[in-house]
Amino acid sequence: MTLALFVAASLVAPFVLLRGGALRIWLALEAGAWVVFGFLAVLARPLQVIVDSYLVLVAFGVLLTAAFWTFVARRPPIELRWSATRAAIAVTLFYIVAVPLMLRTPIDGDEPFYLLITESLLHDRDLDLANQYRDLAHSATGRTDLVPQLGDPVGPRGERISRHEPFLPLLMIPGRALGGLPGAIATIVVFAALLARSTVRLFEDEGIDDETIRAVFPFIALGPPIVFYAARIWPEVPAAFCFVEAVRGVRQRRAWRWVPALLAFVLLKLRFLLVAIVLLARALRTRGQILVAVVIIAVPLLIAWLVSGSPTNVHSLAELIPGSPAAMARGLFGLLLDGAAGILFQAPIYLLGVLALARWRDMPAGFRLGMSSTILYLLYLVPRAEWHGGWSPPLRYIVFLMPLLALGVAAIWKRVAPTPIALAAAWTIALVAHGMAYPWRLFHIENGENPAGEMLSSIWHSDFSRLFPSFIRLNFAAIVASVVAVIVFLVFRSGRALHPAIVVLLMAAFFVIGRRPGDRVEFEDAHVIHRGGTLYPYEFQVQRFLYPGGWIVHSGDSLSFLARGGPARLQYSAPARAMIQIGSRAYVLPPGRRAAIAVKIPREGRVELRCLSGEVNLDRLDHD
Amino acid sequence: MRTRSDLHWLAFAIAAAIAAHFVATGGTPIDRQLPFVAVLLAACGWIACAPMVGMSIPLLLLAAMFLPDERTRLFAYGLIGAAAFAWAVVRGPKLALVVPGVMLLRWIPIENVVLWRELVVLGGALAVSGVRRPPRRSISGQSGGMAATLQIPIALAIALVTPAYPARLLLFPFLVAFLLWLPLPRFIWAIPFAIAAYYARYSIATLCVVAVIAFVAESVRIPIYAFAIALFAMWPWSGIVARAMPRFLFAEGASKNETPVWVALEAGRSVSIDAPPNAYRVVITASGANASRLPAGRAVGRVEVMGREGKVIRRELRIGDVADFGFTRREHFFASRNPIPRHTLDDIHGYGIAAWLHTAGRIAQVSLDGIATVRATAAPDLPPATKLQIEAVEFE
Repeated sequence: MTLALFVAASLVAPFVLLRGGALRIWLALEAGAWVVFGFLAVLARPLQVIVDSYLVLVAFGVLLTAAFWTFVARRPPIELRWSATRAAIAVTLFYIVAVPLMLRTPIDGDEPFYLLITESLLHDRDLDLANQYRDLAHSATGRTDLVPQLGDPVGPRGERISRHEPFLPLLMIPGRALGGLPGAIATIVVFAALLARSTVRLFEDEGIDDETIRAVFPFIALGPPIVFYAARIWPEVPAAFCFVEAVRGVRQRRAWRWVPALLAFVLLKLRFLLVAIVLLARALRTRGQILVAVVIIAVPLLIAWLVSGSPTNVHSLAELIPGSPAAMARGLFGLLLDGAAGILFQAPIYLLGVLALARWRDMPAGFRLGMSSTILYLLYLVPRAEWHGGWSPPLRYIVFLMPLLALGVAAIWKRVAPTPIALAAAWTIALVAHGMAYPWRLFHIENGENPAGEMLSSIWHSDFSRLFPSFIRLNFAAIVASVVAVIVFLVFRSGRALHPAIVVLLMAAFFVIGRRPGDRVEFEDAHVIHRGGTLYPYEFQVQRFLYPGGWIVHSGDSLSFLARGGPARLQYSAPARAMIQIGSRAYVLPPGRRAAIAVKIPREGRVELRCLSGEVNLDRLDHD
Repeated sequence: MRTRSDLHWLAFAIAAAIAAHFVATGGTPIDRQLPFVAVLLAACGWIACAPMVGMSIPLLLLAAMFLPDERTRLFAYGLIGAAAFAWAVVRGPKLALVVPGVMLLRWIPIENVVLWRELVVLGGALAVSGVRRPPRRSISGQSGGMAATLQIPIALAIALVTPAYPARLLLFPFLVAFLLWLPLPRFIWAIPFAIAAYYARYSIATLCVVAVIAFVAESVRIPIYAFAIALFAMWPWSGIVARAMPRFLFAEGASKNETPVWVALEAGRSVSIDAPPNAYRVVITASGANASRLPAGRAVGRVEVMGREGKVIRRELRIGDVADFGFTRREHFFASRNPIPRHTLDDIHGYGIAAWLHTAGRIAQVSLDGIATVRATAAPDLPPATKLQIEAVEFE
């Protein structure tokens, strides 16, 4: 069915956006692409090519979609039927295809809880989920393993209230009633379509030319992170739509646009109050509007109080104390550069938006208004331990500001060198194909590795993950990346220094260095060959990133890894005396929590660590 | 992307070769010659003034890093090379693209290159691509581009199938170029070549078919482009495209249940194989040794399936059911009179233009009353030194 939907979308979309000769040429190209793909599929069988056919099909679809939007971007305006509404219709066709792709596995993270609230509102007309938890078999979530989330409020009569705001579930009621889970997701798709239209209108309002809009638009609407949230039940896409509309309303001084948009924005998530407060301060012009502002701030607090018994829901006022500067720096650079959860690796095109901040005065007023209104929000987000979004698709907490960041991208688009754009485009295509084919991998365990590093480490049994900057488990690459980022931000803002020759040489250096042993061995990482033992803490531990990770070994278990020769320190925890062997030497590990002993690695190369007796939780090995 | 200067392209080509040298650590000749491939792709970008072609190099490096399975990795190289070359042809349809194209298809592995022969083929390909054609509207919408975008794949196809041995066949591209140049409707030339393809032996038919395609290409552009791109993606096994298509598409994999036999039977000799209980179907994998000069249809042996109730099923083995096991090797192909077996094994040997198909045939026979024994006998009139090889059997 997904294939049929994609074929339909790829055939209809050209009729929405193209006309005349361009339409004929594209249809011929598309037919040719299908013939090539079919013939390659036939060739792959006798060649005995081992590949996941589902991934190949999805990747082909993503490539064809990218080619279509590139074609639209490069055609002269006379051959196009371009407008904000038509662009939104075209991307909606692809969002519809994304729904079955995303539903390949059951909904995850906060999604089932939003749906449970919707079902409770629909069937019981209350917010008590106790009966929903008791009867999960009749829920459209497809999840029978749900239990209340950690810290969810409990009512005076034992009611199980979800921590999540009820506004999104309220919006999803018609969709859920009509179409079950796909119907509920359709509600989000509608908001994604509205967001696409609003984004184009925002760009037009801010004076971005049509050619640039057509070039940038597919990155925003069909690129990460928005595309991954457009077909999943999270409040981020509706919030992004509300935020864009609020900014547009404030810019146009149309209170009837920004007041409802801002109210809906804060009703979707209480945390958006931090954005709304700044935006309101910029928007207020009359006494009447001050009254409106009070309502916008008071209503969500009142609803939270009525629902959970506290106006701040599960949050406390202590959270309003800003975090430490070190935590802020870590979270800020993490959001930008982290290998698993940063913009650089998860939505690279938006880095241009970050670079646009360096040209603040030249930027469109809408960009300045939007970005400045998020300062307070970011100030409180970045020092938090879960700055990366936790168990969700990437960049969750900043999805709502992506359209505004994209406005910065559009504003500097023509000043940026082609190489970074080409690299970002290629990486974006790969991200979308990967996320669409394997939606469960959007929920990556925050352990300091990312899928690319894990894959290379597993293939070559060498620690490639250490070369990806990690701010979740701070590593040396993260520090280097931060310094480079600051230099780029200040000096190389056009990306012209990124010559393709440098790119390929960097790739070679990455590969050569990656195959050598590093200074540190994290025992739970993918490059370590585990022969027995178990991961600690277990894979789906809530806020796993707060635990010092490791691998528990018992007598007879062993680990094999690449390490440098010479003295090193082994960090471990052991409930009782244990004994391990490295090379030909045995070491007695005294009992202790977060203990360390000095060991000697006989020579550089592959090392075998064997547990001879007892039980030990091995954390890491640091080369001295 | 804007066009970079020639020096930038040179720097890029050098950097690409160095990077490919360090990254491509696989054991195949294709991996070892990835620096050469990277330089060729950079040359494509330079000739066509298409900087996006440069993106193919990082993709090649990623394929080398992320795909440990040999076939998958080489196929990925093939796809990336084909996409880059196709993009270069679309963006800057210059006839000089024939040079890196021919080198990609025929100069790997480089140790197999006989320089003077390859230079003649290259000259022939340039002659084919240089034949003037009336300008048409191109895919990119620019007038005058179509002729070159079509001529380049045709020249590459002609160059690909041109045998390096014997030397007189090196003139084949020049013959095609001459016929294309003659001021006559091209489909006229397609007719005799099509008739020849029907009656001629397999190795000559291959040349005739490609010539027919060259003569009628202008009438069927979209399929020509599509198939050209797909077949170009096979450059890591270009020898298979040149000498084993289209039968290779229907080649069958060896079964995991088959039992190796590896017996070579001289004229009149036979071998008997007992079947396990409850066997009703047997698949024999057989080939010839020194049988490449035998024509299609020539009997080379016989298979007798003895049923459990005494019934005997006899079946002649002919060239066409089996073939000389190595007749698709570059050195033997043109002289061979064998066709590829109807049900051939998908057993590829070698790489690049030296790739060849182990052309063992798979012959299936069913016996409804159960199989007791299978006997294979070589024909008594086989030439000296020619043998019937029974490679494996599989009972079901």
